[in-house]
Amino acid sequence: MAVARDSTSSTRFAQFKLVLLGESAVGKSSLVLRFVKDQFDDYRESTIGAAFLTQTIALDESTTIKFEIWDTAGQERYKSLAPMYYRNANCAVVVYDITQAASLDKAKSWVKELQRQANENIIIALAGNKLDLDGKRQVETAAAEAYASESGLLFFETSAKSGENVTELFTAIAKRLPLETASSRQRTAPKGVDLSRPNRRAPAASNNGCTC
Amino acid sequence: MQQQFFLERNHPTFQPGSFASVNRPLLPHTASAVSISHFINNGNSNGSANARDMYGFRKQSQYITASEYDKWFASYEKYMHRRRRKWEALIRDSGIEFGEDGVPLAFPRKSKLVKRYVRKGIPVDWRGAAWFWYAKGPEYLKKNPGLYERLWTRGMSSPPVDSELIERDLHRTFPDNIHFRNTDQPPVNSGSPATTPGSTKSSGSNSRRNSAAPETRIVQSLRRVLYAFSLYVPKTGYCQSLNFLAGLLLLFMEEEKAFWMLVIITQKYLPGVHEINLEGANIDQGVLMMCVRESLPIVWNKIGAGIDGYLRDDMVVRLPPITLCTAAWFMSGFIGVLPIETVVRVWDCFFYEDSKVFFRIALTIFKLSERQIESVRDPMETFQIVQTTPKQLLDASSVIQSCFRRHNGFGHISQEEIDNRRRFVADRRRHVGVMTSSDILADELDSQLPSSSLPGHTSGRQKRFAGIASSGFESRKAAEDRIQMLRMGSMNMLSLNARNDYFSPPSSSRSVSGASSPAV
Repeated sequence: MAVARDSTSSTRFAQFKLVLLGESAVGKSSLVLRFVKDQFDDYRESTIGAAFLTQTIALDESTTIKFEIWDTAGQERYKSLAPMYYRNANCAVVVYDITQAASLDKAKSWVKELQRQANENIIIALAGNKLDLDGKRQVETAAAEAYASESGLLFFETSAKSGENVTELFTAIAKRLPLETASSRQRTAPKGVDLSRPNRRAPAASNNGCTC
Repeated sequence: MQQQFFLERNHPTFQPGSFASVNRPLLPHTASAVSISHFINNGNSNGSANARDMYGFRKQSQYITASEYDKWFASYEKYMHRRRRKWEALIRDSGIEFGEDGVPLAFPRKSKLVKRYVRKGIPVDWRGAAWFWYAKGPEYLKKNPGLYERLWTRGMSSPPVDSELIERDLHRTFPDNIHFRNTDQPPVNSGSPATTPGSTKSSGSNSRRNSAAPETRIVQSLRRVLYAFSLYVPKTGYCQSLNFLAGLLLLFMEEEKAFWMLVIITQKYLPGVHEINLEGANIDQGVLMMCVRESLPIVWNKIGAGIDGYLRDDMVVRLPPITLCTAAWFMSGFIGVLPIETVVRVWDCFFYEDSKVFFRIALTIFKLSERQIESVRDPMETFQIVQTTPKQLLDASSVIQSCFRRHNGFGHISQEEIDNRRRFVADRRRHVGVMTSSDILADELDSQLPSSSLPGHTSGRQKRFAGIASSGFESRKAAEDRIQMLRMGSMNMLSLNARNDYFSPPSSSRSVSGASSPAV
């Protein structure tokens, strides 16, 4: 619906590609499911390859953000496919499991890879998931937070199960996204994002009528 | 006995995971026997109350309602009955005996007739035996007596390197199937000890689960199969998706056979697809993209040629992003992609006719999505369509029919053709791979290229690259396309010098230039 309103002159609409990365079984798909459908399954099937989802949020009265979300498989060998996900991503959520210290190490290596390889302006958020299992915590909040701030990442501890901080996480990302750039990028030849938008003839008029 | 409809029998095949020793035949397992007979007795009269299909999966999915399922199954059940009678006659006419369990002791030699029978569906309780037979499982079993048991025994006492990954996925394999997770028993809350014998690593990963229902027998079988496989085929080890393949196999056959089928699938049918670098998966996706381009140009224009910067002769090396979806189709044998009955019907053909079936089914899915794909304006919707269309294909028979229909555009894709193309794509990728370490170059280029390069302006790097890229003459536009291409793909690239005889001369400049010509 937000999409439909975007042609009016008082609303801004922007679309961003978001990729989820992190060790397997840290809760990437569950975070997306909570964000997109506000659901949670104690038992989620492991993700093979990739799943694609979208979610639109209203950032404020006049700004609507659509996330194109690529949820990825966590196993190491799928890493060879990862550049295909993140090359044109505007934002990334790197997830670890607060009850698994090793998963933070993995998250750090993803962050490093993104900072080296992905779009220069990519917004990266670090999410320590499974906050509902606080009793089994292995990663201290302060340590992860310190790492995140020195690496320039957004940081949240989340629980896909309880929903805690999930919307907050995605909203914070949305707020950080360069709206002007994104909008203008939609009109002009987009840089990387454009694998998602090859054909700009028709949509340019109807879908990307941002007014900035 | 054989005349009886399978659902009226309490067939041991449908008591999966029900044996402790791999060398013993299946023993009845009360819990699953109950669920099957429950289905038999109440399934039709009380359809809506029964949430499970005959395999123990939930009938309802995000895309199919329980009543849609029941409606479809009402006629499908009759169809299965008819097919079963035909099969029984075929088996008798072939002079094949039936075992005590009512399953034929062998299956008829391959012929046009048998192929047709297979395409129309193998009787459900013969399915495991038929898959095993046509995949030449008995040969593997005969050559390696006792090996499976030795492997899993070893695996249990000293877990393979991949055991932690396996443990993480055991409970994420068909959690919606009653045989994998018995929802009748409420989840035990945290702290339940891991049940893995002899695995210290796994207890760690298990204990992190916040809730864990008691492990079902089929999950225990799954663990043994995956541990044994990871030891037996170390260059593949454990790859996510093998859990689903093994899991489905275990619903249809005993675990030693499931183990050998996993070996056969990964070595014979889908070589390299699950290996550590996933190169086999990439090769198959290259082959699939070639087929899509030839047979479904409308689809190709959206998923391949329409994507900025994808130059046609590089598509097998720089795979279009849609292959992120389609690679999973192959790796998991369409499990989780198609509804389960459609999956097993595809597998019937797959084990009989080899891997060309997966390619043709993938093409069928594209074909069935063609109109929708054609009409999308936002290309991201293409991913959505390609992802959701197959999940709605409940009518297994009509999927198979569309797949093997004459003149559907891909009837020429024989196994020989697939094998040739696999070699071709593999060679090409290898050739290109040794030419350059592309990612480094791509990244260099990425950082050099201004984000909004103005028309007419060409950076030194671009010029240099255009120089590398072109064999003689190349426009700035083309060079930019190539750079774009570098940016987007993950694979090694720069198949710039090699000519590809498979491909016709470029004709897609319309969409390519339409896509990336800078506006204003």
